[in-house]
Amino acid sequence: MIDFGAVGQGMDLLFSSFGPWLVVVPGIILGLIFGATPGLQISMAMAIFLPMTMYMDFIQAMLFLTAIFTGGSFGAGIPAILMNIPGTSSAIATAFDGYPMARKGQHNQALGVALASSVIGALIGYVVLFFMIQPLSYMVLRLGPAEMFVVILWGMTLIASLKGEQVLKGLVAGFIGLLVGTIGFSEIGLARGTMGQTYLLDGVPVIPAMMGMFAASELFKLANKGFIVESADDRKVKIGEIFEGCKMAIRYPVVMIRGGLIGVLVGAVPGVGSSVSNLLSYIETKRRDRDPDSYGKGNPKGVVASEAANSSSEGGSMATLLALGIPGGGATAVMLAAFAMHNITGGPQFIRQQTDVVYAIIFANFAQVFLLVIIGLLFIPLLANIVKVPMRFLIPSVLVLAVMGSFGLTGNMTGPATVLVFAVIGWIFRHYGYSVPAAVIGMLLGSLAEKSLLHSYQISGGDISYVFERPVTLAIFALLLISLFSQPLMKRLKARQEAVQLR
Amino acid sequence: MLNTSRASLSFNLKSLLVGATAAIASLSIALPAVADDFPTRPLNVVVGFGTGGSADRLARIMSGHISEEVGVPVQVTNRPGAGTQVASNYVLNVPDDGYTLYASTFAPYLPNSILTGGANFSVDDFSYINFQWFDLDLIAANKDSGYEDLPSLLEAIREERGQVRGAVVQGSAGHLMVRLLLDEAGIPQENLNLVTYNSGGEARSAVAGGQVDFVSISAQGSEGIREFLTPLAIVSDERIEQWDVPPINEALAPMDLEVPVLQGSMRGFAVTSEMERQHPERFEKLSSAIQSALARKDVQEQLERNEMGGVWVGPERSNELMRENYQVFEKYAHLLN
Repeated sequence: MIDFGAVGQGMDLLFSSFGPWLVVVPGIILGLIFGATPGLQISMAMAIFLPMTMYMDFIQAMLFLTAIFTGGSFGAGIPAILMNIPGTSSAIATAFDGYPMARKGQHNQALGVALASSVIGALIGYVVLFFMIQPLSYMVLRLGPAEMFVVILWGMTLIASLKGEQVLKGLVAGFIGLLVGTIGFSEIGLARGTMGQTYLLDGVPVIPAMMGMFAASELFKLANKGFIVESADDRKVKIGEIFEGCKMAIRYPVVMIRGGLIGVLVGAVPGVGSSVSNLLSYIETKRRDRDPDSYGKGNPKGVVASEAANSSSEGGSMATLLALGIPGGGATAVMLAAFAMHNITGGPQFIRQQTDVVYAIIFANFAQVFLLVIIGLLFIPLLANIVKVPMRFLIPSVLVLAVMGSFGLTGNMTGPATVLVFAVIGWIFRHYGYSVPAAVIGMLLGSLAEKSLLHSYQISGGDISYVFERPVTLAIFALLLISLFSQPLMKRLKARQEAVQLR
Repeated sequence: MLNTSRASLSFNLKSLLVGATAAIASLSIALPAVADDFPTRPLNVVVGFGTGGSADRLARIMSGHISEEVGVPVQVTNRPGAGTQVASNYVLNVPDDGYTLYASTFAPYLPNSILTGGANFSVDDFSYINFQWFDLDLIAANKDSGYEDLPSLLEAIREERGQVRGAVVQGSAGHLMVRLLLDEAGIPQENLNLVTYNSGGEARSAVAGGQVDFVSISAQGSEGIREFLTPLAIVSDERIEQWDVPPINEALAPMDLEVPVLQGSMRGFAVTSEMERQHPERFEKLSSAIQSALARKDVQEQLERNEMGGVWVGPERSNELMRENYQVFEKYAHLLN
């Protein structure tokens, strides 16, 4: 599986000159900035700086772009933790427990947990890539729409556990999100729910909608609070606590490795990627925990699960790009353009003939991970100062930032309009006790679920027996049922035991 | 007397004025329009897609060279959304003064937005300066599917309903080609289980992994999964070196079938027809700027490095190609949903 000759050559490519490394640090910093600014996306950073890679050799170009990638996947977690606004859709689950930690004055620890999990997650992703690039890419090819549907369905069961005040309200919120997610062109080219608006033909842009909902509902909750963190003592930035957070993360190796593996697998699937992997990892971690009710209230394991998964997704999407020449999302699509500039076509042949180049890219990412530790530790104290900003300045400036970022995202007024409309919707949701995260997940996963269900229908010609040709679909579905119905049963048993003890 | 003289005077004045205006007007028609020193301010290139896509990269590379030719800066702005409808509407709504160029993947997006997207413009509302980048479609089977040529694939679809599975990108020329093939061969459309993806990557993964038996998709970008494929036909009039596979009508010859050779994607530059009508000389200027940019060796080399097309077919042929493309789409639009 591993070609040791190529390993040596790969090392030579990387360490024979200082050239390739000059771009890594700027790349990570760029990624951090773009990831940490709500509304700016990692793929946007890559697209903007793509022309610069024209003047680099291929290895250097790849190092630069993957550095942006690595920095970005940690950066997105920062606003999720400090302000409950996920920078990208891949950090939604990070906010679930990261933000409650920050509110409790543990923002330093939460950022430390996120940094350590991102670093180790990215490392897991690239280690898997190093050992299994070919098998991993073939496994992705084996996944059909039916398998994708049950996996996404699994992610959607998370909605039920994000209930807000009541289960029914959680489901209603999720359902509204689902409906919003179906606006626009479907995969068979029908326009739905656009009310004759050209701007709605592509559907509601999810990221601006998400930012509007999260940010505004926070505004509502905190309008009469002075600061994100209540007590002045807790608002200090303490390096010691950041390290403590890093150590905290390492205490949960099982959560970390599980998140990492989920991230690699889901990240390798085109069109799904990190926005689903962080949710799946979170839901699994919560489900397997002895105390699932502690999640959403500031349990560091939730941050570990989410950040490990969204960072390891990078390795997964690189596998699909290198081994098949297929981009799975925005970031890898930009990389594919860089491939073209250097006359390189990803695919099995590329991996066979230029194994040294592939290994060089992987090794460089091992090194990037350690650079991320250093740069992250330098940046966190700077960013953690956000908690010292009084609410009355912070909220409007974040909203302005979100509106401007969303303009960049959609290239027209659709983005800002979406942020503002959904800010109002989010505010209403929160006011009446409907769960905002449930609605966002419905929006995000609803269209994906619909797409894979439609493709399953098309591929089978509407014949349900197709499912029986797909053992993997049945296996995942069985697991899904177990995970859904084991929890209430356990709860009931627990309640009985407690009742017995009380007597 | 007085009255009459005054009347005659005013009449004379009037006729003089009319005469003068007529003379000036006729003069201005007779004079060649060299007085127009277009362009005097930066040009704006509107792209129908977001940053990083093919049309966007083409616009960005060409904008620098067009700028050198016309002597003013050229800005690129992205107006993505609704399969280029957002950009089309935007371009139609800005002043028709020649300062706005439209760069896009005109085929298949423009016909699609008119036929299925409910757009309220027509292909004739734009005047196409040049299409420089043409994509060919490839029809290929999964290697393990057992299909070695196009007739055997079509016959398999004919024989049994719901046995053969295909993948296409929704609304693309490749999608239309599959529908058209079945139609011409007299095979019921419902015999084929056709999966419509919204991205080429997903359609290519589906055929490479054997989820479907065949794919009909742009040849460019399919190189990476070549090892998983048996190419069956290329939608073109002639053989293409890169894929070593018969052109579509040659592949269909054993079945005594002939289909229209549908152009894959066409990318290039356009303006509004209104602009060409009002300022023919400005249109001429833009057109010759693009032509001379494409005639330069360094430009050609740069396009080649980026795997982009750089041919000059000219306004007349481009408009013709667009109209033809639209007519084929219109004829088969009912098959696309």
